[in-house]
Amino acid sequence: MTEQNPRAFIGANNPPPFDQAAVDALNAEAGQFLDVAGEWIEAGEITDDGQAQNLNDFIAGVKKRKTATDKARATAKKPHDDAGKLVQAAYKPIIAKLETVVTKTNPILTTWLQKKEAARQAQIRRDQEEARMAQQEADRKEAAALARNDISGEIDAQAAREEADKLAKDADRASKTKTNVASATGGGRTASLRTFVTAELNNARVGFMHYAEHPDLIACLVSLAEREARAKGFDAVSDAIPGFTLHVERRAV
Amino acid sequence: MIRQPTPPKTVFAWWNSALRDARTPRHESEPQAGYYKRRMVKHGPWVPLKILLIQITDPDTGELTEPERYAAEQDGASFDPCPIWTHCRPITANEFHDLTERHNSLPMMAATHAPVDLSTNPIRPGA
Repeated sequence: MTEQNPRAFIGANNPPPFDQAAVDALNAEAGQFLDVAGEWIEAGEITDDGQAQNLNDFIAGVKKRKTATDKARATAKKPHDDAGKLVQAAYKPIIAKLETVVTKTNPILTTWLQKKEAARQAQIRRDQEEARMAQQEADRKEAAALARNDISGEIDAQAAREEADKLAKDADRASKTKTNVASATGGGRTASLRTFVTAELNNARVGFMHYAEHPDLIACLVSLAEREARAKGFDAVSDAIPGFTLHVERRAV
Repeated sequence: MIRQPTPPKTVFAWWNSALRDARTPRHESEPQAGYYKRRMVKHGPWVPLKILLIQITDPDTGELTEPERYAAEQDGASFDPCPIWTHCRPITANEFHDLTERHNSLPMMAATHAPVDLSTNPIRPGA
């Protein structure tokens, strides 16, 4: 038996990523608090200071249990986080380099596509102008043939008119096509110019008025106001923030 | 019935129009002469092919001795273009020659029935 078993390697038995026994123990300990919590909720209102002190200790115990569980979680997770960081450190630089390659080479392709698009637009303008001139010339010939009762000239002018209309149609159709660069091998996708729009704020007041009712702006303003209200030196009872009503609520902590 | 061969301008009219506008209408059973490229499989390499109008003429009179017919030429083989012609994309003569050259110079394009994997070998500017 000198041959290696290909199925036998480190981790092949797929161990769980955490200690199940430790999790079970923490779950059992938390379960005790959950049972007692039911009793506290069932009891409802507190009638004397002694009960309040007991509840205070119960809540403190729950918090300590939570902290201990969270600490155990962090300890169990740390090797995975460390391994994850090592994986990130190994792979990320390669990805970053390849992204930089795309960032630096894409403008070269963009420049070429813009050049090609400009040439295409110029060609379309030339074709449309040529078609327009041909149509005018056909109209002129037709009018002249009609004036001198020249049947042959009329038919020739009509043929010229049809040819001019065809040129106009071709130019119109060509104007609807898109500039692109196909894959040389067939393995890549076709590149084309895409329009990207970015906005630059040049009048905050007008912009604010425009988006005054937008929920995102309202959420942003509320966030700014709450930050200011919580800031050191701000008295939420006596100080005010224009446009906001500050609600002061006191909770047990 | 004796017929004159179709003049080249007419033979290549559709191809010339399609080069200018890719949306030029095409009919399934009516192949058109010109230079084309197509893929043999999805994401496979472009394969150059020509569609020719075969005109057998009498050397003395220049008249057709048999009906004109279309033939596709790809990689040295000649076949009926009707079944594949709607999958062919018209390309310029220069592009056809470049593509033929690329097939000789790029090993990744040799396997015409396999998808091209551009992530294995970088394409150089001169390729």
